[in-house]
Amino acid sequence: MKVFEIENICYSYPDGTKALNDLSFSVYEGEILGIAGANGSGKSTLLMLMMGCLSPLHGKIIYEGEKLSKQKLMIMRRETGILFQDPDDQLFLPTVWEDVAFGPRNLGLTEEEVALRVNSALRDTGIEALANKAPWKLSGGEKTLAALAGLFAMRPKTLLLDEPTSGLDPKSRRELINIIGRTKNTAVIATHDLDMVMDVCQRVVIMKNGTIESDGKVPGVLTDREFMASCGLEIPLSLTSRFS
Amino acid sequence: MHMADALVSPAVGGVFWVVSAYLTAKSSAVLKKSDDTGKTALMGVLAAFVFASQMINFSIPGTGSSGHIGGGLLLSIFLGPERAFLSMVSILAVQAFFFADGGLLALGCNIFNMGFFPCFIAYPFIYIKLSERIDGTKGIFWGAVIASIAGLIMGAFFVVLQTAFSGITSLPLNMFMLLMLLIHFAIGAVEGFATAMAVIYVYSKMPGVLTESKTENRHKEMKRAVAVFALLALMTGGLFSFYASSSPDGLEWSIEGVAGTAEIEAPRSLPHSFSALIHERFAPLPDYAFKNKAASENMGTTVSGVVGSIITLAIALALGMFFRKRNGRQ
Amino acid sequence: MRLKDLYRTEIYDESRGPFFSPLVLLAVTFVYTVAVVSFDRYQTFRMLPLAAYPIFIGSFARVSGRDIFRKMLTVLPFVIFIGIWNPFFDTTRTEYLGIMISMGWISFFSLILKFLLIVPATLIMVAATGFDGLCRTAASLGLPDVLVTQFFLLQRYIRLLAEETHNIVRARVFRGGKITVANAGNICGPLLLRCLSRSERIHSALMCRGFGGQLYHKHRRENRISVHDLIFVLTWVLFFSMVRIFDMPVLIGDLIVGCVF
Ligand SMILES: Nc1ncnc2c1ncn2[C@@H]1O[C@H](COP(=O)(O)OP(=O)(O)OP(=O)(O)O)[C@@H](O)[C@H]1O
Ligand SMILES: [Mg+2]
Repeated sequence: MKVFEIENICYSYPDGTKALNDLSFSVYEGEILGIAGANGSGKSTLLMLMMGCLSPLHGKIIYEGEKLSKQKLMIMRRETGILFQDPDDQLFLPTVWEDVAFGPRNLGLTEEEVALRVNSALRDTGIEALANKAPWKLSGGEKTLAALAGLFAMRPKTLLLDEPTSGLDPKSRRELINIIGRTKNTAVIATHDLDMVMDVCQRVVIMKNGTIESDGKVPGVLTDREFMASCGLEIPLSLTSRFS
Repeated sequence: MHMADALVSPAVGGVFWVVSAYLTAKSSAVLKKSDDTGKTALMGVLAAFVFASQMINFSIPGTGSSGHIGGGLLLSIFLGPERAFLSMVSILAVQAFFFADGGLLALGCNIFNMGFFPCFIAYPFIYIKLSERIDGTKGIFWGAVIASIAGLIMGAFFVVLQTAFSGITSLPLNMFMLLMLLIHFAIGAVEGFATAMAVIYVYSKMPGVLTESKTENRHKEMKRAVAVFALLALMTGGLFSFYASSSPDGLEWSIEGVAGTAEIEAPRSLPHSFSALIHERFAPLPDYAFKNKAASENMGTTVSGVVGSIITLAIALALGMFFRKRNGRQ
Repeated sequence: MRLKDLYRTEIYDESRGPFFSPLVLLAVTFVYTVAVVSFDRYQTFRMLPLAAYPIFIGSFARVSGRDIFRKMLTVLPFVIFIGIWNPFFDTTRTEYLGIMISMGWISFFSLILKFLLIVPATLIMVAATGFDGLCRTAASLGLPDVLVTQFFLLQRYIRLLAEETHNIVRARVFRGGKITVANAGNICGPLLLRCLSRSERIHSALMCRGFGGQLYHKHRRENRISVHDLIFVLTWVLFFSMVRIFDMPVLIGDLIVGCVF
């Protein structure tokens, strides 16, 4: 079943920058989809459109078979968790613990259930030690993990992640990859980390200048050195042997 | 033009606290009723922006002084009056608490001077009207400049009024008023200019943002409250100006005579207050009542006063440290 | 108002003493402020014992005096501007501390003294409760949700934007640029635009997590006032009233002077 269907989407920013140009693809239930592309190719913009933060100039976005109306948007947002490229945009409260608890509390859960969910989310992301810290005191990677914990505590059906591994140290990155690999959730991951794509994604979409250049199974195009270079990318490290 | 706590009397501070609290409650109620959470994040971020932008001080060519973006009007342009007012409340509270700009008791006065006038008077009646009449960026420019000046002048007028009612200054009212209004005319012009430039910049990039908030219609209830307070402010201001002009050097004496400012209960003249002081001083300690009242008497009082003060404060310091130690050990 | 004040101070965020509830400190500070300003304009030494309160809290909470002093300096000019006219217009001469001066100077001195008493007290209270302590107090005081949410968002983003602004200004000044009113649009405009798009992202992040108008869910335990707190409030209020009614410095001084000599 298709979770998201994106049909012929165009988007320009108010200042006239053409960010997306006639772009179509689908996200299927249960799959983990990677989106790769050079800087400024429109990955973040695409996720923002899918989340309804921006509205497309042309084309439509269909969520679970229905066009995104105001009501459907509400439902979609409840069932989907998004991680922004800048985690500062999604940490609002004075301590990490409270911030993670914000979502579950809004679901109307009792305090015990909230505590249960928060603690398990913090454990999953490995930041139990930071529970009482203020968001502005966290390092970049810790902020990302805290924001992720906030998403996980909501138990969303679908995850949209914008560069989840940027700024993470190798260990946290590996743990995150494990978490994503374990989930039964649908996930869309926009990233420059092609090795992660190799590890966890079943399918990958390569973007260039606001359009889709390629859409197929992993590893597939990821091994095509020339094609990747034409999109401003390189083939994943794990496929090259550095010291040869 | 933040009123400091030291400049307001409890009565003046109290009255304006009540007024501001009422306006705040009303605005919140109106917003709650409309049940539109779409601008919540914008409110928070824009208030933070106003704060941050006030840290950029523009130098004004040829004067050596500097100015910054004014808060209330800019917020109103993006958020509409009620949300802008609440944002101003939050900004002024933070300024009072963290920057000593204003104060706990003076917060009500400051909210009224810097929140009510720009958001509920200058924005709807000047900015909106002007920017509707004149098309394009010109309308925004003149609207912002004139509304900003008007808002500040009204606020400054009330600063004068509040100070005078509190019985703080001996400066003849006419002069005080003239001084304040002139200064704030200039500040208003600079703030208005900076605000206009920023708004025009945004307008040129994202025209959509501005028209959205303009079409938002205001609620009847809020309009009534604003009308009442505007009328009250006008009446107070009118009466005040009348007394100010009829008693060129009288300042708060005249107000005291007419309105009977109750909070200044202690006697006016120093000898008088000294005798009261002496009286108080001797009442609990009758033994001393027979001391001869020589000139050295005042010196004695002073010495006693200084010694007593130092001792009280030393005890406070010691107690503070003691409790800290004890608390630390627990 | 200086940018660096915002993030250099330890005042910013940490609540230090869990000993006093912020609500209690807020209440006592309010009463204190009223007590100070209720002295009339020619009173000076009589209100001095009130300083016991800020000194007590300050030494208890270990607030940096330098920090408070710097903040006071930035706001002093307005008070001086209002008060400095008194000596010129209120020229009745009188004897004060053994010298002849005009009443205007006494009232000016009194005004400055009030300022010096109140401002540190407020700043120390904030330092002892912390920004988020105050936000929580605001919530527990029954402030409307809109305003509580506003306070929390402001507390969260003020610092971020201040840093962003700081970077913009620094980047400009480092490259030799000047900041004048004429380019106000070009400096504040982009910052404002960025704020608008940031607020959109925050909004959708809020929505994703089921925001329904209430950012902060208050807890019952934050409202609770202990016996400690009650004693604290009563003691201080009693002290303030004593100072207000009796001439404490002279009373205590006489007692000491009378005993010693
Ligand atoms: N707020 C904005 N206003 C105008 N143009 C924008 C804005 N945000 C992004 N753009 C432009 O839109 C294009 C796509 O940006 P986007 O952020 O989607 O890229 P991205 O693929 O996420 O890049 P990165 O890998 O660097 O995160 C870029 O050319 C960028 O300059
Ligand atoms: Mg991006």
